[in-house]
Amino acid sequence: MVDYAILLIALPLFAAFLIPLVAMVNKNWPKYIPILVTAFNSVLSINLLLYLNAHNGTPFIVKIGGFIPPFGINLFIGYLAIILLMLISFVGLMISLYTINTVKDAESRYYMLFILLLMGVTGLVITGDLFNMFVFLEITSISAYSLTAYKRDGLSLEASMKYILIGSLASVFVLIGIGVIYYSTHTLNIADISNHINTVPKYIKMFSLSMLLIGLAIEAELFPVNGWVPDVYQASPTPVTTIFSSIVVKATIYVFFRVLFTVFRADLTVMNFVMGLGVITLLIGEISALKQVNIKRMLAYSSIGQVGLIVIAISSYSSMGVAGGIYQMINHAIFKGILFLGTAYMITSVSGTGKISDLKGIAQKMPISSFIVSFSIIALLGVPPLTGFWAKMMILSSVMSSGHQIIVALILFATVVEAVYYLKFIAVIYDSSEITNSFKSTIKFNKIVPIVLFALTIILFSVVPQFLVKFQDVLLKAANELTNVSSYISIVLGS
Amino acid sequence: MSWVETVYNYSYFVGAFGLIMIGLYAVMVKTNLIKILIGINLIDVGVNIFLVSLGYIKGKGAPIFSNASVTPANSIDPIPQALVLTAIVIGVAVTALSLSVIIKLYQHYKTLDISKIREMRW
Amino acid sequence: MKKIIATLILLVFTFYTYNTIKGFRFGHDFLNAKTNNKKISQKIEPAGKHYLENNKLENNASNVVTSIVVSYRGFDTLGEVTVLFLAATGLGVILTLTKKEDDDENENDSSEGEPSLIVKTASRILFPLIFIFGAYVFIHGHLTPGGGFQGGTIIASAYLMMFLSYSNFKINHSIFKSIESMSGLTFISIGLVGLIGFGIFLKLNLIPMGVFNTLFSAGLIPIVYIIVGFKVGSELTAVVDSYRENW
Repeated sequence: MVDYAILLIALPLFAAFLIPLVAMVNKNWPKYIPILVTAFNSVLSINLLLYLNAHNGTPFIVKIGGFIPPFGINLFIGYLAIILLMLISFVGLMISLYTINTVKDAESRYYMLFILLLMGVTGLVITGDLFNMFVFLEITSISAYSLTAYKRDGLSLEASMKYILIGSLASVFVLIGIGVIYYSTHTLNIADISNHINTVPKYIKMFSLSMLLIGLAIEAELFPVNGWVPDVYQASPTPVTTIFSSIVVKATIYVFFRVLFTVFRADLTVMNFVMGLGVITLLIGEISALKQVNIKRMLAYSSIGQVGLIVIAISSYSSMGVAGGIYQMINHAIFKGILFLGTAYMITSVSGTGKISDLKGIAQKMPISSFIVSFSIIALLGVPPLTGFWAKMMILSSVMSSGHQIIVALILFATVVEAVYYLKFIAVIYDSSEITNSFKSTIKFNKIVPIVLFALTIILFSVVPQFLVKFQDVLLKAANELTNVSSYISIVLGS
Repeated sequence: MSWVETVYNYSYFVGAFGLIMIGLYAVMVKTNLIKILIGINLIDVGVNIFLVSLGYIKGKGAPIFSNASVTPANSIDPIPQALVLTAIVIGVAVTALSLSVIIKLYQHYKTLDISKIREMRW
Repeated sequence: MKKIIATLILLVFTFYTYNTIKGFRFGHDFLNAKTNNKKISQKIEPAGKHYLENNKLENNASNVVTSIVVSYRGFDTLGEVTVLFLAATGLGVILTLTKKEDDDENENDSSEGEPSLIVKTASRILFPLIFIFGAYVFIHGHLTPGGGFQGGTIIASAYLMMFLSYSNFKINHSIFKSIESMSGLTFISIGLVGLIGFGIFLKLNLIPMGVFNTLFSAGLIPIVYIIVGFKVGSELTAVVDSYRENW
């Protein structure tokens, strides 16, 4: 059996509690612990993938405490969870490599918060209990609050304060929603709620749906409630920003749709409403990114736009669209990993304040990183043989076939806007004039290696066709796990 | 059923949502960070009361079987109480963290008024 | 303007909530209600009823809320402990001082705000009593209302009293940090013992279950609550101490 899957959460937790003791022995050791933990989690999730492949890809559950599902808490692990787990542990590993000697006077506490943030996200992805999901949401957000304030200057304290106020409102709404849902179904297990949800009167269902929707939309950076995102992204240390953009948002989008699809069995009206939110998020994100001068802020708005695209894809409800959305999640995590880490690496070499104009002509001095950054931008925009193209193709075709031609046009318009500011950025870094700022060469292998590995992943996804065919199969199965409610119920509760 | 009767029958819910409303009003209108934090704490308390009252059953007592007169048949639903315990702990954690951020903000800007703190665009 | 908009939003929210809540039946005995609904594919009793009826058999703790918190939903409690740990850690990160500032402010404060002898003596007498009461609360968590979180908070309040009455009262940070870490590690280790031995994480009936409604009952539940009590007590004390050091 695969009960050891719980180690995905237990081991990071153990490591985080161990760090203070390790730091008392030697101050330099804690910075290697995140690498060990994420590497272990990567191996474990690959192991689970192999297990799943050997068992026809049927998702499995892990019972905690030995109590059978609706009475005890259970984990639910299928292809979708494993894709996200591999993404979390891979990106986490890359970022913990990058973090060594990067964050200014990083102490042991930074690594504790970092590991616990990853642990919270892991829990969000695999848990099968609604209240447990809330607890992991809180673990994720509380570690995010403290990491945002890590630099302790005015900007990061303000961003953190903003994040705390909005985040605690989000948790309150989620809690009210969970309370109402518990009152009307007398259970907290997601499968059991889904089993009972049709007996709940419609207006009570709509009330708790709207409460959970507000709360989770705040965490998932959807349109009316994402004002905190650019500030938080700009103010937090770059490795943390990368985690927010690549992983945390993906996990919260997963939770958002798990709640919509499985808990509430949302109908087409709700899904169309969510798709509308996605479209507005996409447009506002991309258009706001146009006029930004700070790189991190520009990438933050671009990230909001991509969230909109993913939400549009998944809310189309067709298996092709959901698969495309999951594919875009993976792509976006890797692209934003390269962009945030690569540009931060460039900025540390020139003495600037993080403005785009500081990087003028940087390509002459740092050809490899500039090339990789431009390459990932081109892949992100969806130039044909590269991986971004296939994801966008899947999304567009599914939206087209669901009869929303105008949304297809809007997505294409947003892509053009995206192309404008990204190509402008490439033009700046490949500018032929001399660099104005003072440049000091700092070749650090622990910074180049993650960027190169991310780029290799893009190539792997783009050009190995056999891999792609198999991958699409996995994506469709993962999409099915998200949308097929009755199989979810029968796997958790038994038939 | 008239609305007076509803309010009378559901006094716990009225109290809980009353606290939530007061808290939301404070969060939306006040500009002092400490007052906003008090508002958030009021919302937390309101939600906790709401959760506990969801588990109440008329004429039944606490689910602690310390003497023979308490049986499963005359106990209230224990789950909301367990949930509230968790929610309280989380509320404490968030309050502690935000107080520390407020302390640092005050040391940095010498004010608690969010409309005077520089970069914040609310 | 702001006030009007806020009032309008609240009115809409109130109306919406009122319309929903009036469909609830406050105090309704839903645990024993009979439902014959055809829409449900699998009939499962309400979880609350299951816990009340099977608690004695499965956990042997007379306080059902405790057995839910620690045993049935023990994973949540692990998360809760983590949340507090995170708050204490994050607080430490945010409130780290530059040394110079610290010295200036502390010396000014300590000369003026010294409490009177009565306060000092009384709190010295009360400190061990409050401490023992906190320990009592978390040791008897499976028998009476209370438990690790409550007991830990009471212990932290004893320390808060000492901080208030002695302006130069210092705690040994490394000892508190080690208690915090060690208790967290023990909690997870208890979970891992079950995983290694039986393939079940957080299995709490590993040791004899004892006699119902006595101190030595309920398997590992009291032990977990004692660990939680130590952890919460040391964390909240550390939190209070970091605030004190900043002013």
